[in-house]
Amino acid sequence: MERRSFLQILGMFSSATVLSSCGSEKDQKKLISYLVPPEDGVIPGEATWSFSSCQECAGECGLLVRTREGYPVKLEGLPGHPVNDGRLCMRGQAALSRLYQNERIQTPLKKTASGFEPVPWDEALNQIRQALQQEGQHLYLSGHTSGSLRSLIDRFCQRFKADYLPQFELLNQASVREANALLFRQRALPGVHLKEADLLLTLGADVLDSHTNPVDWGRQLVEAHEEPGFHWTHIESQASLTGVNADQRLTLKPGSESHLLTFLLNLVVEKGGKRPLPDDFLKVLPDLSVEEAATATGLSSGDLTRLGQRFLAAKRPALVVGGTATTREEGLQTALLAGLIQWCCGMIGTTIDFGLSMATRWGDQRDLTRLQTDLETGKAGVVFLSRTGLASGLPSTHPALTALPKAKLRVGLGLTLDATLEQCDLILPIHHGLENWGDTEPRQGSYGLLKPALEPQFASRAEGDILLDLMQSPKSWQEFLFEQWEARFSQAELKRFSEQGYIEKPVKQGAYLERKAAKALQPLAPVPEELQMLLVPSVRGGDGRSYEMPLQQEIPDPLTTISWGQWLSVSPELAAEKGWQDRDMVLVKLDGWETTLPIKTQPGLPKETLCVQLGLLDSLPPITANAAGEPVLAYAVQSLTRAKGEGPLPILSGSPSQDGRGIIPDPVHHDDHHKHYSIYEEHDRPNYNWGMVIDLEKCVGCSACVAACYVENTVPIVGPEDHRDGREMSWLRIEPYYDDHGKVEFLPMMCQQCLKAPCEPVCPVYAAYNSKEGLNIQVYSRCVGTRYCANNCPYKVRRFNWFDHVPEGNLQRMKNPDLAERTKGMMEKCTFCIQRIRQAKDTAKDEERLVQDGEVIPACAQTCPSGAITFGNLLDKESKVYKLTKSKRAYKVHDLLGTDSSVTYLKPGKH
Amino acid sequence: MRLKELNWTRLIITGIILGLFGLFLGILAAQTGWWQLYAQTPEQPIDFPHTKHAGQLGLACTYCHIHVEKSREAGAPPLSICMGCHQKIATDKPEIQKLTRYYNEKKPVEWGRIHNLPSFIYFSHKRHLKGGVDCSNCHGAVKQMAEVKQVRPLKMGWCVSCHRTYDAPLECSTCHK
Repeated sequence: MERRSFLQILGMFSSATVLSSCGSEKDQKKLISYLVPPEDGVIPGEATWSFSSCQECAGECGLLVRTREGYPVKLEGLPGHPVNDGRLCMRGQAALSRLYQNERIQTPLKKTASGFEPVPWDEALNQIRQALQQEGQHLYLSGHTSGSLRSLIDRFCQRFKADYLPQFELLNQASVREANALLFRQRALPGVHLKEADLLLTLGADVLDSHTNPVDWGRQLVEAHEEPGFHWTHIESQASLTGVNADQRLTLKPGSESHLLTFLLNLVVEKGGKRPLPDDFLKVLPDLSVEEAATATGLSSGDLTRLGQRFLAAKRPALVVGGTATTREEGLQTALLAGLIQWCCGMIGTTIDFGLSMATRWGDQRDLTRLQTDLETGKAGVVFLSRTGLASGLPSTHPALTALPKAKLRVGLGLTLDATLEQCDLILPIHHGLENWGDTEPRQGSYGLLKPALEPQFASRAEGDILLDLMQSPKSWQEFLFEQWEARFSQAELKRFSEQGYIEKPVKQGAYLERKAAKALQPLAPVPEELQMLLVPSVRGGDGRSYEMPLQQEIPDPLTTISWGQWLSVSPELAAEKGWQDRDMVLVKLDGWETTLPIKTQPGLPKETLCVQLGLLDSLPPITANAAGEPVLAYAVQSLTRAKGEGPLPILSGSPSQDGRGIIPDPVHHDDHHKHYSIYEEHDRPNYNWGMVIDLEKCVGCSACVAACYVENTVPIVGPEDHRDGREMSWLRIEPYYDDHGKVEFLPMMCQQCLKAPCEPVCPVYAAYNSKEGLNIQVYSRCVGTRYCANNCPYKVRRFNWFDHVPEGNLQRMKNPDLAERTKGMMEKCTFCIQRIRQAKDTAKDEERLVQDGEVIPACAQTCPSGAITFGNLLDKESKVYKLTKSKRAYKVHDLLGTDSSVTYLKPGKH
Repeated sequence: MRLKELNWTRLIITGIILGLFGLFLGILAAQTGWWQLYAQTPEQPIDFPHTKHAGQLGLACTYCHIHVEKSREAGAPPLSICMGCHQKIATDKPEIQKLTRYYNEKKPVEWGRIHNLPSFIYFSHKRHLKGGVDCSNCHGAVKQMAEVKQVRPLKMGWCVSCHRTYDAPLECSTCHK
């Protein structure tokens, strides 16, 4: 019997068994008509695009929203936008799930004895209006807010004599802003022009993780590296994604940052910088020799000398401090010293630009003390808490939180009933950014547009509308916005703003040094000797808020490949000394706080440091503030002991090392002389042979591509249990490979679309086959789930659906309708975004031509902040991708196996 | 004794063979029944006569199915198109009054879908029309149907036979999403 007829008969038998379930009334599909066809040209089955701005962090990247049948299905960066130019980070890619999360509040809620109960909008607003008429100091605290909404809150607060507290962000970078205020009278985070710099020195600032805008930094760093002679040194007391990507990474003892900067400033002063350091500062500047600096920082005097020489030799250096360097008790000192170095080296006004300032209205922990005092003295009237994340960012014992019940009325505005809103009496659901009109000012002189991409899904309202309604203004939020824009922009600018979704009016701005600031400079604090635990931001969670989205935990941390759960990063030296293994539970005791956590050794971490990512801990240790109001996130560890057992930590990578497999070879061998023999028949590829080139020199491991892939291809989120069983579903993963010195290279791994694919001949049902366009196709409806293909794949990129993964409730709206649904028992994998290829071919066919270079961009390549991924037709000798495959750095993973893969990697390094 | 035993064996074998044949027939019958169920024509909320519009009046299919040349989806005609004529025409008929009611109440009509493709199939109406396929090739002579029915199987084999005849792509990924 032939295989085909056997299968046919088998199919017939199985169809008989499912007869009873077919053709019932319940399955009857409906074809629903429009009443009137939409004016904006919406065609069923075709995608539409609209502008918006990302609200996931204060970076406020521009967005292009892809909408299908009225619901956004994918976010992409807005090309040309001044901060992100078409790219998005992983948090931005995942941000769509905030729109559809099932936890969204659907109506206003009122706290009663038995919990929260829905109330009509009018009733809720009336109650607020009445409370606003009463005595008391009304307070308005919001998370990061820019643009016209900020102006409206200002007006609202003026009208009701309320105090608009400076905006609350946990990672407020207050030390740098305070230092800039003292030194340069600019309480802001200045922009950085990397293109103009020849040396970048970052101290603690995790620019590729969460600092100001990782997308902007990623893009700028690639551009800067195109200039010959550009060098980037990163110095830190942790092991961050930023650090491992720097040209040179140095680690110092936590708490010795100000010592290092004192040493550098002394060098600059000695040599004579571009601008002299005024005497007032010279008088208080401590002297620090190389040896003293070496003892304090733990760096070798050789390293310090070379660093100093390089710094002095640079013509246009840039210095950026932040992150773990300033979330410390002595953070303000570090920031002041950095500001002085920036001044003396002439960075202010050249590489460091106050014309691109951001975070101008952010507050710090001192403002919370203001809030707390008003609350505790009983002065506080109505307290508005809008999008603050106050209770998730601070420990529940924080005095500002414990004093909250003393307010006369607490009004919470937000998307979900989070820990902050749970403390409120009245809860007002607000629109998600994609449901709303609005504008942003990500940094001075740049404006982004928010235009609704869908109708509001619930009875939520725009924050602007709520405020205008409370003010009893006849205007709507949209009218208010249009008025603001007309006042702010000229007609020509307004036209550009509405057509391209952003507008830029940059003004370069320098600053002058304020001599009085010398008083703020303190003597150097001694470097703490004991072990320290640092709470650090991460590329996945930011300051922790993005961990609320399940996708951010499903995608593994690029440095450790840990997906779900919390862990304590420990240096390999410390782990070896104690005899601990990965996943061993340890008990960490700080002053007044303790917890047990599984450990993970992190190569490159200084021995003096333990790290935990923000947003992962169940309970936070107490958070105090330094002199500038920046939270102190460094803690002296009182004891660190082994606790019982192992933690259930999914570490997805099998090995941190390449184990000599040459996955990232060094050097690349081009073996063009030997003919590769193959047992497979050659395929005829008339028009296209799709291929991809990934430049590992540009890849920083930020995992934006992974998130983009998840959203574009509706890859299921399976959760921690499946991850521990090795059943992850990601089509694209970032593989970190460490060398013996703790240096790491990242390699994005997805289906290599082999032209001679080992997975194909083992498929008994012809579900995996090679197409006429060089794609390794998986026909889902044919797949019977033998898993032979996954076993035979040398790249381990095929994923098996062990279960049905149907997203719950509203989250189903995120499904990309261009893809087939995969059910239990099907194998799936990267398709090179075949739906995008299909779309491009359809357009090309309409115009009777072939698809041109750059017309098809898979989701991963589209979002990559550093532009590491190039996609195109290898048959087109003029295409970018073809030219890159001819690079001297080009190689294919496991080329020896003769798989003839379509993905070419470019080895890291310039040559 | 020996013979008797042999007869028993024979009986069992014959029984099995007949049983299998019966099962086969059963399956065949069931499949035919299933096809009937599958192609069952759903009840429509409004009794729309294609015979009148496409037949007697000779309106082109694209007059009402406005997206069919632009999109992969043909879609149901928007009610505004119906009302374009039926503001004035045949307003006395009960079905038209039903339609007007839908329109005035701003309630979309939920037509029963007759032609269904599995969700894992990519099918573009636009592509087929641009390739010169006539609507009737897949939908039958709708002009003459008092009640529209599915007259083609819309199964893979049927699709492929046409693709073979007209030299259209036979690549799995052309249709399988």
